[in-house]
Amino acid sequence: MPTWLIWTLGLGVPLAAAAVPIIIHLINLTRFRKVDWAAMEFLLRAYQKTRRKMQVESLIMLLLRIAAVILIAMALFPMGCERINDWAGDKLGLSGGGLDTDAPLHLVLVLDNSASMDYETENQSAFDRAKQYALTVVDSLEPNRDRVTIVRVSDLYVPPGLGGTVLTEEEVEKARRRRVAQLSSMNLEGARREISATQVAAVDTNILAAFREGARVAESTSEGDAVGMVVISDFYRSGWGEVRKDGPANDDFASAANVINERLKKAGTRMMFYDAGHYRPQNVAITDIQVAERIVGAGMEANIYVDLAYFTSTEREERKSVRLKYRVDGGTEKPFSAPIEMAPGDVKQNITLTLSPSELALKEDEVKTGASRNIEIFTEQADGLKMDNARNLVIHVVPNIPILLVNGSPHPDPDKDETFYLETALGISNSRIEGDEASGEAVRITPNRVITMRGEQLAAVDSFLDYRLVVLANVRDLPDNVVSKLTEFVEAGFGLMIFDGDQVDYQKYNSLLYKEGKGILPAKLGRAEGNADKIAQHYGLAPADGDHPVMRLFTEDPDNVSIITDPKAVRMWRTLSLPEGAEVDPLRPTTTLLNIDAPGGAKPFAVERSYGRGKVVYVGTTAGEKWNELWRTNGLPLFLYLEIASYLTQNEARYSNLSVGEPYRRVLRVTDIAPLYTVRDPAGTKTELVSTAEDNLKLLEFAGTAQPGVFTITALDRSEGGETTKKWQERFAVNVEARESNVGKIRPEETDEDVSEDDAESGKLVQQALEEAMGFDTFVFLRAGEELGDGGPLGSDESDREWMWLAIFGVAFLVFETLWSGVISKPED
Amino acid sequence: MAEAYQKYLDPEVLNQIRHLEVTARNVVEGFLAGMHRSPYHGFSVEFAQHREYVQGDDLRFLDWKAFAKSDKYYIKQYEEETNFRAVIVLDSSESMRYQSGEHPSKMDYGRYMAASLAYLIQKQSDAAGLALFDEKMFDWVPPATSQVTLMRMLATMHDREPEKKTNIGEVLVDVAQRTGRRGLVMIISDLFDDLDHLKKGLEHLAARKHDVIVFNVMDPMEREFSFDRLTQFLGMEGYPDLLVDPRSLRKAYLEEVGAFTAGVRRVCLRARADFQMMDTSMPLGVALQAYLARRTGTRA
Repeated sequence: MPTWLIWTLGLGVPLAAAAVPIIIHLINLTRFRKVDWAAMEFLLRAYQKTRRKMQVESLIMLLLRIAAVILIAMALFPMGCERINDWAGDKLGLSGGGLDTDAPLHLVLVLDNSASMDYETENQSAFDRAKQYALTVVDSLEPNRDRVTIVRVSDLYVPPGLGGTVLTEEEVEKARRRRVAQLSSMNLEGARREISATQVAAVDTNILAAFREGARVAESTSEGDAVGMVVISDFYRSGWGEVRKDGPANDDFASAANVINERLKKAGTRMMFYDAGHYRPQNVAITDIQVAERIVGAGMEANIYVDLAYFTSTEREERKSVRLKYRVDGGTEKPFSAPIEMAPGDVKQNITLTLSPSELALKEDEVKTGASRNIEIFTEQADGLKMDNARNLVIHVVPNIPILLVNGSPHPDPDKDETFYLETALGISNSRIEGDEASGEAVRITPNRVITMRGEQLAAVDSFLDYRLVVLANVRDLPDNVVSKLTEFVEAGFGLMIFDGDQVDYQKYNSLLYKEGKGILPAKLGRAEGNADKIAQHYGLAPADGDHPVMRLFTEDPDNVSIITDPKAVRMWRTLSLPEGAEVDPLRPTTTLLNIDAPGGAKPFAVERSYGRGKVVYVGTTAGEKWNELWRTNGLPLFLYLEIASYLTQNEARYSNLSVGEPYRRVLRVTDIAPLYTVRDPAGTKTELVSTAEDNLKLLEFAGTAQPGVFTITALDRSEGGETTKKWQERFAVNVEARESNVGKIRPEETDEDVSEDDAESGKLVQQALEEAMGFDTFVFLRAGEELGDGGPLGSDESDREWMWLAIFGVAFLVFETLWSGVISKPED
Repeated sequence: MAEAYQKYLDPEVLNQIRHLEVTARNVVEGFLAGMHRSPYHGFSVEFAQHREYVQGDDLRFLDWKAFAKSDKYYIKQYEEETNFRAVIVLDSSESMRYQSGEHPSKMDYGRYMAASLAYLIQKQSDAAGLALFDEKMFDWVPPATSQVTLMRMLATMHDREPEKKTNIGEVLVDVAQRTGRRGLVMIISDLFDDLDHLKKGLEHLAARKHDVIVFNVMDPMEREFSFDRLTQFLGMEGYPDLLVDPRSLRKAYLEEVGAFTAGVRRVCLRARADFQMMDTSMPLGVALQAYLARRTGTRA
């Protein structure tokens, strides 16, 4: 709205309203009735006595009428006199020093369009307010003299290229850090258009980057020009927490802010902060969804863990009873939790949804390829910030994971057979739901389908590409062609697991598989240590890298570590030499999963490294019980080997739960490579992708995850005639950053625990937090509603009610007074 | 067709008061026949004595039989039952023209009242007369018992439009002088005059031993002043106009009216006059009936 119009309406309307009673008063003076009066003597005498009092009363009545009408006008019209004064005064800063300058002004307008700005009450979001204020500020500038640079705080950085292809890890990191779009300086009309077109980006906030941009623009502005800066945001912890005084980015933020402030001082302007966010928000958010199973196969249950949080600005908000629902692939909504009682600040983690095999069942045409299933979890009742009321998770349900188990030392006695136990462990399936005989639904525990062959049969295998994992258990003979095929297999993105044993010729293995660090074997094998006899001493194991995906099952819960550490069950093991010096591949170092408590200290026992697109894990003992008694203890091998198998085949999982802006990346196996790929975003827009190569890996990457929802990747084969056919298809889910759900206002460092709720709701604490974070207080702080009015088109805050009450009072007074005085009655004469 | 002025003899009013007696507080000459023995000798039916004729005596009362016997002129005197003479003093000043709403004007109310009282008095074979006044008495109908007198009173009241100021004091002095015998004087007026004037007039009447009834006629609006919006009051009887919000003035006005009424009561009390407030919103018959009943009760 143009400034002149604001002033005209803001002052004109109340003044016009104030004139109404005066006009009525004057009209009434001409609209009296005439009465012949006999008892005039008494009347004149009474008049003489009360004339002065009557004049005062009449004046008071007139003033009350004027006041009542002004109250109504101010309450119902948001830019009333008092508020216009605010606009004109320090609060607006236009004339109070904020942007007041005679020199040409270069305004840096920092506009927060992060996800949390979408919080709305009464159909008005914080971003609506922000845009309106931004337009008002732009309108206050001088056309043909001033210019504007808009810095959007939360734009997604999409690297250039077809489909926004991410080229390097650096680019990926850059994309994550640079959530800022700086639009070069423009004239006022351009700025107005840009502001109007800006949308909430569903991306998290990067305040530091925005201030750095602001500092850069301020410093690059010529000396003759004045610089102004207006920051419009919601000041929620979601974005501002990290730049707060005790936040990790505060030093850099304060530095940038002071650079800007010094530049502004030269021009006599002041930094302005406009708080467009709602106070007393109540936001129940689904902050995370995870799947317990590493791979979900057909016939398996899937356990979905949902995290729920209730964010508010103050502790005084009401409790909520939240009910969660879900649906699979847009199907029927189903509740999956009893009402969950949430107090302000509560976080409920791992609310479990168990999807039955039938809910994830593959259709007929999906049985061979598997298929993506989108699980949408949502709260039954939406709140002010809708985008975190639901989250998506895509699970790729695989038909099965074919595992080739090569038994290098078969024996009719299961106890002496090399792979009997392992085969059983990897292929556990066809259980039933415990205690639910009525359903009768069979539930598989693993997705694996184990195919066992003897070691000597290896040479006859044409290709291992029919399998997802190959396990060599104490295999002696490794013909060259087998080694070659295995290398090809791993390189193509599949898994290889190697168990040691008395059949293994370690020197041959080293030469064929290790190849001085260049082969697929993660470590160089040495002589076997220990004694295979059962009466010999046993040694225990310990996790070496607790953060390794395989080890997390045991290390995340301290109670589970004992599964590994308690049994002293290994009698014999292979000494391993990890690659070093020239052998080390810096991109794919060998990782030790487990150590063995060997004489002289811990030694590597199980190691892992990537090779090509695949991974290889070596275990320094036998799969069976020739060198150990692991199977007889507490079931360590069952968990451990299942975890390793899952890890090595996890490319099959491919469920993804990305945040907005986080690039989608997939290593393509040989069998997945296609000439053409497309991605369809949640809005239905299709983009063509190209696969890229990185260290001989074929990658499929997509950085355009700018919106939450479900994306679909389709690989297309092209026939000779040029027609395309679908080769494979999968989906992935993108969700809003969980931290954007935190709608608590920032506060000073010391006041988090003990704070007046009234202060918390007044904006005072936000202002103090900004002072503390930047180290200066020479800025203007405005809160939405203070200048635009609560009863008006933008209003919705608490203070609006006070104005409304005044308006009601004014109306009631006028009605009463009007009826009493007969203002609306017709003249008799 | 009946003359227009006969409208003042409202049958409904008359019906309500016809059974009541107008009684005098003081001893009056010939009030109600048979009820009050007059201390004076008059010209009624029972013979009392003879006296010698003196010039000026009515020849109708000459005893011709005694003249024939004694050749002297004697006048017959009778012990007669006296009747009384009532004079209705009706205010016809401009202020009596005021009326509010559907109520009759004070003038009309006074006319009805005067007519009704005159009719009643004549029906009792008493004499009723009328004095109309504003600044001065301008019409005088001597008290008489005849129907003709009643018609004359009605015609006089009907023809007179109120237009001038009130000067009740002088008028009452005049009435006192014209009414030789003691009688009943009924004043019908809003009394909007100086209280001293009223006091002076009433004192004259009291000095002549008249029984005086003061009917203070007021419009309800004058008594309550319940105006609710800005009003220009046009002054009657030469007073200036006043534009004012009546709500602001009401309290002070009512105080003034209250003080005036109290003053009138006080003056009447001192002059031994009976005072009665007559509100034009009250049906005349009801008001008269109530008053006369009270007055009769007092007498009893």
